[in-house]
Amino acid sequence: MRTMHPVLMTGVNEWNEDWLPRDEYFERLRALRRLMAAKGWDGLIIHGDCDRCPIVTYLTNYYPISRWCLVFIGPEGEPRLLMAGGTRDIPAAIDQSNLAEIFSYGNTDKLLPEWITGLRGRDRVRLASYGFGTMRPPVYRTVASAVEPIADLERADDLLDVELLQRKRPREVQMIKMSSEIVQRALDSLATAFRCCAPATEAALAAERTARLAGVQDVRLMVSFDNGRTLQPFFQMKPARQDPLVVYLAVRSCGYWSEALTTLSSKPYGPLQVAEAELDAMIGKLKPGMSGADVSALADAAGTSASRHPIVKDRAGYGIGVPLEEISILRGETKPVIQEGGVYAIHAGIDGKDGAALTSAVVHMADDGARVLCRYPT
Amino acid sequence: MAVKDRVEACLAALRSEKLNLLLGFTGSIHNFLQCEPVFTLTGFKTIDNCVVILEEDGTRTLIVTPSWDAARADERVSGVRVIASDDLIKTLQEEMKRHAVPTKRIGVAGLDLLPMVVATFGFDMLKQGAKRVDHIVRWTGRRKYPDEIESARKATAIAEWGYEHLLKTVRPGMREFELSAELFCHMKALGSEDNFLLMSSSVHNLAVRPPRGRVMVEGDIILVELTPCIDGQFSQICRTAVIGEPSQLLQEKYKLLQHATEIGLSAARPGATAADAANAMDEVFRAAGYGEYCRPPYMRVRGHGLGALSDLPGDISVDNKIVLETDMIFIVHPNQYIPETGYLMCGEPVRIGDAGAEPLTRRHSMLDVVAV
Repeated sequence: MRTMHPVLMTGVNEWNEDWLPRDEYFERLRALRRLMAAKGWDGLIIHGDCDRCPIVTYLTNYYPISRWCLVFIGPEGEPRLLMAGGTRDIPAAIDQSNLAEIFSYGNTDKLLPEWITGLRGRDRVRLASYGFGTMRPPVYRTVASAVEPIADLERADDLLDVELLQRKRPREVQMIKMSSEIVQRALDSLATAFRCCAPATEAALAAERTARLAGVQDVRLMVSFDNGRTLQPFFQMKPARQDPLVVYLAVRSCGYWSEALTTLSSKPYGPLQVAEAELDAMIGKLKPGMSGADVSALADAAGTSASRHPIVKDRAGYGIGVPLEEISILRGETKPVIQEGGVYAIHAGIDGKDGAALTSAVVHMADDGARVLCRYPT
Repeated sequence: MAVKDRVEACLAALRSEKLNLLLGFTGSIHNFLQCEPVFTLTGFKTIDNCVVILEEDGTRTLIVTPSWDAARADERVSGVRVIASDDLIKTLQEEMKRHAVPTKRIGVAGLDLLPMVVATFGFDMLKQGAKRVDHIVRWTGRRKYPDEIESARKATAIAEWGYEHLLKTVRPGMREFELSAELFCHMKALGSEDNFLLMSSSVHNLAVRPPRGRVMVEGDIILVELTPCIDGQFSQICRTAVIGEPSQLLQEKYKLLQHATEIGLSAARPGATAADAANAMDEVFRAAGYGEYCRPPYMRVRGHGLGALSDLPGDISVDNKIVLETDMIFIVHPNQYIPETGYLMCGEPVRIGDAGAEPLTRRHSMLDVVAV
């Protein structure tokens, strides 16, 4: 879910080699190179920034805590990563990645042509690109001026999103499970504070504190101050208690996100029961090959006439993993989107005359059904 | 109050450039070293790509993505027409049909804050004769209004309380991220809506970096940069603490940074340039024999502006000729790598008053000692 982007990701970002060992990254890079060879690409230029950096993180564990980076992948050798930032920040960046060397983005106009020329000498090269659409214009101008004279460029975003990110490797599922456990522990702290009649912001901060003390890389929180009708980022502590309390919490740990939308209420709450019924219907019958329209139809078949919450009105969720939001599960879309091996955040929500509620589950799509990795309350 | 005055200032500048309409864009990434047109002209902090349309009579329209965030905009901005959208450019194109303004009379700001896929629309307008007016929006935000200065004071107070909390909380055996988590949440509980928080430790730091799982022990020098934010206004302090008794050498070298800070504060006055202040601080290190170290990677800049209204006066660096004016807010920080001790940090946020730089902090940086 889109949240307020922090000015800096202040969490732990060291490479956890125990859980994401070198051989895992070796296999990922090998798979990418097979793809590149099949497409006839001499090289691949990947852009990522602090808002969105999925392929860079997938291949190197690195993500920029602010600003952006570029990665060059040739047919062999270590990926070459250029980070925006001073040279004195490079040692910390190396510790964050599985790379032996990282370069400064400031030298892009020299390093990029050098790398391209090194691929095929004087011949015009065929390059693929990823993430150029999210580049800020000054970065785009620098890269374009280096590439256009000496290379043909082909956009590879859709292909890499599908081939590399959608179907999760076993270790990725494990990492999402670990992030999910942290989400659940954090929401336990939220629930404890809620039961002690704490104000909404205090309860939310208790959740954030639990997550940060677990050593996560990033925490995103949205809280409702109008009984679930809207979600807002944090701006200041407020004294009011909310009951029902509707919160969105997402956590990134070791490069992988998990999240939950949750509604807590001190007494039975009709809108939540409806939302939960819709969620149960969606995840209970979720199957590979389904489209967004199919998933939405599962919710409709739960038989409620309550109006859908604005946050979930157009989409029933999205893929989740290295990026917080992968491919959207759009309610009106008939193209298949659910894949076996994919991990999805499925959302349900109601906003009607009896109130509003939001709930969600992160599920891993197996061939025999969806396995819940994160849902709160469980 | 400040927003209305800024809008008026922008309109006056647009009129002088014979422009009738301004499109001010802002994206999802926030950085206090940039100017955000949407925040400057409406007071609204964006979650995703947004645009404010400022007409020559002062009418403002704000197009907000994602659509569900429009309710927050409605609540937070006054006197602005809010349109919810999930396709910024499509909605903007429809809106533009209402305005019979020739492209040559349109100013555009904030394109460099957008992803290329969205910014392309604005660049096409520039090709058709629209003008870039980032300088106008950035310039109007350079001097802060009383409520913004008050926000900077509050953010500074939070930073100082946060640092006090760090000194009370840190103990040998604690991991860096545990201390950072406590610090971050403490400052959030005090009201900080965002925080550029860097905190790291070593017996010999190369620079400050994000926290890790590293266990802190006696002898470690803790570097911390705390940058809380109140109502979009950041403030920053830079501090250094040591676990256990500091060596004579460390104390001696830290005095250099403290002296450089005082010199920088004296040099930063109305009419002086940012370069004057930077040079004055560099001279302190040169006189001590560290002239070779007054450049990257041993230091970055001697201070910088604190956006998101405007980053002006910009970096406090030897090549920045921006003239300092009253009510500018920025940080003076002669953070420096010293070969004998490693990187050390020392810095105070200031408001430029009529007589010179007025630190916003109660207590200037000292080499703090965490008793073991």
